[in-house]
Amino acid sequence: MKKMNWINPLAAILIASATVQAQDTPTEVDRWKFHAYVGVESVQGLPFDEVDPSVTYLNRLPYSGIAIPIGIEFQYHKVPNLWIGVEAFNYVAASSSFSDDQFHRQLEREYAGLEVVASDFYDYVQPIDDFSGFRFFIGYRKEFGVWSVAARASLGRFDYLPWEGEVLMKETNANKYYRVEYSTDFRRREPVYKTYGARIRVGYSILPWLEVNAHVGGNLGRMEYEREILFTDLYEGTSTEENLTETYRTTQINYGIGVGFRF
Amino acid sequence: MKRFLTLFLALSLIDVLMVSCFCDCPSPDEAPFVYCQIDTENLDNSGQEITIASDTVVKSAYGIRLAIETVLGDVCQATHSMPLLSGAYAVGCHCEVATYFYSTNPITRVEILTNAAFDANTPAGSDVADRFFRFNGESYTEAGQAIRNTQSLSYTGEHILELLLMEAPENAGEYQFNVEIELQDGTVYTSLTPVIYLR
Repeated sequence: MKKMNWINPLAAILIASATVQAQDTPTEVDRWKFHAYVGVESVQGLPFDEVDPSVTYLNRLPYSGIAIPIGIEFQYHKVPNLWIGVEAFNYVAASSSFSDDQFHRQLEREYAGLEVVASDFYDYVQPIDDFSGFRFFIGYRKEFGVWSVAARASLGRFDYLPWEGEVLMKETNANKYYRVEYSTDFRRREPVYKTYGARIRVGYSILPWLEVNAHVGGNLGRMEYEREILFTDLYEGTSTEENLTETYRTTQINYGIGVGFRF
Repeated sequence: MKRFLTLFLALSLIDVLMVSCFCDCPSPDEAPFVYCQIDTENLDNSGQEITIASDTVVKSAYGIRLAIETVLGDVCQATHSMPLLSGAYAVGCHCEVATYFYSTNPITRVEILTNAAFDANTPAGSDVADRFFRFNGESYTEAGQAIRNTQSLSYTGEHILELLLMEAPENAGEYQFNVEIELQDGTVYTSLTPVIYLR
């Protein structure tokens, strides 16, 4: 498990704390309501471009993970069912079913006539492990006694970290070997991985200020990144460098439970 | 008989003690070795893994497996000590194991001679050593240099070099390669590969 980025969740807690303190002013209490929550959710990523064999392996990356979302919602008294908010999340676990063997077959399709004989391709799941990000959302919430139902639409972004690797390839029926080095630097470009999501949440109030809830939703994600490939003919000693702009798209389904605090 | 046995044991003990006291340990970091023998086989590198060839190989994926036998010390002949005599050399001296071995009789010439013509400019009998290379996973080294590099080693015994043919012959057919290594003192080691059909 990689180091986790808690900056966004901490920022959300600080915002929540500051806004909760703000309710001390009687007029603010009258005008605004707040709902701070924390949860745990399972995220299942679906390979979006499975049907297109020309897409790169990352685009085909199926994965699953567990994320911790923490957020705060605001409601203004004149529109009692309308909520706006911000949510930060960080993955605490992630894995991919994409294997080394699948990656090698992908490379052999990209470089026809060459076969992978060794690889040192590390951290190609790092982008998943280090997922963190935030979402802004707007939603509708209605109460039915102690029960509540909320629906929301969100716009957000994920953060990725760069990854790199190295593969030794060999020409079939020949003694020639090649080295293929990959690297990406998402920070070189705008590291914007946009996500568009929707979610339904059902809550149950145990106390007037305490709610447990469950949610299910989905996200569509899209990110452009630059992949640098350094292809070296080890016998001739010549190298060619190629920069590819690729698009990573994903479809996520997420579901989870949480606990919320109302003020 | 009893007296003879006592005398023999006494002599053995003296021998052990003398060797223990006066044994000549080489410098602990380095030790000399000698080249003693070479042997060759044909290699097939057409697949992912390099294998010993049977009788036919794609000519662009041909290679020679060169085994170089080195022995610690100054002579190739293995020494066999009498039981009990000088047996303490290894134990009694407490000689440290060297980590660097060097040849006192370095290689002066390396040739790989083909018995069949590669092309019009490379007739039978030509030296084609410059067409063979060793690949170490990162880079290629010309065969002659790779063989000369064995003059300093981290261990003695058998050293395997896989020499890949990087410029295949134009002509398909049966080939045999004679690897010749000459040392500074004039010693020449040769090894003839088995006949291989390069297609």
